[in-house]
Amino acid sequence: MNAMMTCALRKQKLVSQRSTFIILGIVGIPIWNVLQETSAADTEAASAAMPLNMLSPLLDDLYTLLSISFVAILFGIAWAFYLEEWLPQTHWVRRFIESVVAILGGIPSIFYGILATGVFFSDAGTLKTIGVVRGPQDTGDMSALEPLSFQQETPVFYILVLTFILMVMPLTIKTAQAALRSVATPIREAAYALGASHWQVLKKQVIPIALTRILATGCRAMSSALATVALIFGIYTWQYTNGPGEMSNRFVLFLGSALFLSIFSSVLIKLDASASADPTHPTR
Amino acid sequence: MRNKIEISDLQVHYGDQSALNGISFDVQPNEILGIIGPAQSGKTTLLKVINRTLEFVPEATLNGTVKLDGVDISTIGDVYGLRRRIGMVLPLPVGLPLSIYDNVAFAPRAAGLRSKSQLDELVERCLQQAALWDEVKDRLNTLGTKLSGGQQQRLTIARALSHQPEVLCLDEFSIAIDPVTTMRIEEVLKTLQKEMTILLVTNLVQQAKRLATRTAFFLNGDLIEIDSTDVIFSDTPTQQATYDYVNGTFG
Repeated sequence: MNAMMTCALRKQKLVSQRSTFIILGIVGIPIWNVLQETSAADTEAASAAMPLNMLSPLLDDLYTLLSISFVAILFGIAWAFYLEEWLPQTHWVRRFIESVVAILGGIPSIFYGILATGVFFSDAGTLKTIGVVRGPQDTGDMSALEPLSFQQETPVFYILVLTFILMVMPLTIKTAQAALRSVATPIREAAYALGASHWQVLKKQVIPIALTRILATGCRAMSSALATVALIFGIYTWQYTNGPGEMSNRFVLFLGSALFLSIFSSVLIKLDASASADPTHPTR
Repeated sequence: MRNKIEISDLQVHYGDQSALNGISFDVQPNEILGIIGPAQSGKTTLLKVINRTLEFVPEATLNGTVKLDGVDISTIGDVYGLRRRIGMVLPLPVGLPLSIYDNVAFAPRAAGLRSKSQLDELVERCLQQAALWDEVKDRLNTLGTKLSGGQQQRLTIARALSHQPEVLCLDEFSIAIDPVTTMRIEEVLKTLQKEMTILLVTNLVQQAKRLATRTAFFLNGDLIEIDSTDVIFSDTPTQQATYDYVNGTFG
């Protein structure tokens, strides 16, 4: 009975792992195409209200932030491996990082949103115009403004980078650790008892089993980064549009990708939870 | 004759809780040592000490020495090599999520054996020794977890034999399998006895009686008695507790 169940679930899991890459491919390519197409459309639409070329520095910044988030996710997964597989449970580094992760992970994401957008507000409390330094002789003439990227305002950009890393890393570390912990102890014990080294156990047993959930982890973290990017983009382009009806394609695209990745990671976790319901047993 | 395993004053604590309180005994080469005793008596802990997987339990502390062929195992640098000298069969069958072939070839590969023909030969021999070859020879590439419980348990035995161990530890191997299969495996163990030393932890007192050359009785982390199986199962073992347990008065 158990054996039959495991077999069916195992298959399901293999299918889910493969379909992960397939779905990512199927969805990723159209998203890329849309990105390519909308970049032109966006500039046109925006040019009605705001000067040409104002959007691209902002987008450059946002893409940089997304890339940084991606790297932060990879680092987070690496940290999770280090903490879970190498450090003993009582080691001070592990306890320290785990408590920090617990604190940061408990902060609702709206806080990060506020932090990310808060840096854009001027002292007077009004939204700063996108990447533009308005002088005292500001006449409101849009064409006189020069596009300015956040990266030139270094401290602001660093705060943004820090926000994204703080948002993405704890989430990744926490869930990737949980994924590694979900690999049943008997499987590890059996592999070790066969004289496998730490690396061999990781490579042959732990990673194949935990891969789905680690992927889900990455998707979830990337989704929150995308949502925040959408928020920043939305707030900045809002002043040049007349309400939600004129929301930029790209805003919808960011938000949509965030939503998609979030749902996708939930589906992965769901599939994996049913697949890894192997009979485990306490040992001593 | 030189002792295969010498255990002297072995103490194991899990945190404050004592699991083994200073036990000492020897295991002779090519014997089947039956280890009986109720739950929580330290039988599994003993096996974990011997193949040094107790090191994975963070709160466990260990005192005393265990010698394998006269060498203190805690001084052996190559712990993976040590574990390959000791075959371990766990209570419930754990099929690694690999094919049947890869399950058996896991340990030899981990040890660095790459030759396909040698691996084929080894896998066939181990599966035959575990009385599983005839049932799976046509589907070696299916998942090991696909087999029935009894077959999986024999797969774990084949796996434990795959690295040609000197000592085979069986931890309540018959929990998950039916009596007929158990008998077949017991036959296998009797033939394996010629090649290796076998430690047989079992909850089935009669199984120890059938197989073991000598039998050790554990109770609450103490070694109550170790003697030849005939004495343990006679009407006059040294300790009253042994007599009571063997005859089902308690436990």
